Amino acid sequence: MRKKKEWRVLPSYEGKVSLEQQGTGVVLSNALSQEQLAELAKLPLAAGFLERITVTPTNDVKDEN
Amino acid sequence: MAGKFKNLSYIARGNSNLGGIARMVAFAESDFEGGTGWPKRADLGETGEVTVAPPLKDAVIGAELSFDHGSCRVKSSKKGALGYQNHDHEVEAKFAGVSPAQMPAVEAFFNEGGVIVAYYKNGNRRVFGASWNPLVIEESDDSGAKGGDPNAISFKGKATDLDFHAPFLASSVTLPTDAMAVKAMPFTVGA
Repeated sequence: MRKKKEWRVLPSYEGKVSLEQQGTGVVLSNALSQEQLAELAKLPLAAGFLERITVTPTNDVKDEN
Repeated sequence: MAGKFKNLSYIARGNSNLGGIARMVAFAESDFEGGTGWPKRADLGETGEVTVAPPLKDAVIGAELSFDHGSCRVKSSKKGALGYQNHDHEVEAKFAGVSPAQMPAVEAFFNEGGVIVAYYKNGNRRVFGASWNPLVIEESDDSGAKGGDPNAISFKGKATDLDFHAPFLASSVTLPTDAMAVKAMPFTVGA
């Protein structure tokens, strides 16, 4: 299985940090899409809250029986 | 040819203009990277707004200062003789209660300067102090003498001799804040 890289919010900051502009912003969470996290990771202010990890996708099939 | 001075008028009629401050977010002097300070005069755009994000150290989150309603004011003043003028920035607020739970936050101000972003009640953000010339924070607490007196912590910060009025923060500038600590505000809070 090919490994891939993903952005993750560090566990201690999950749901706890807002990156705010005036009247808008985002709470850092692993519920955000990879595209959103990748965009946020470009901000120097956000770098310390995120990590890039290697994950191995699984092909697990849910047993419906 | 237009003169150097520009027209200055009161806010347009029909608009809200509530006094007081709704929110403060504080960063310590030591939360900032060394080197180039923030904000500095060169960071101010044509409208006088700060358009540059604060150069904070990794994973710094601003401290939410949740003060008593109607207790927070901020001031920016220019003073001095012609050719020698400079600016002072001031903030003040009160916090109900004097308790062991509050003391660690108070103690963190000991010999530590700061930069405070104050939010007006229309959501406009303004920066007081600078990492290169921070607000010097003084606080005191007073039990009052009888039941109806305020038992409270008083907080004041002042920075003197800056080369700009406390600048507004451009709406596009991002700040890292504590998502769990912000109270209800009279404006849209980012996230």
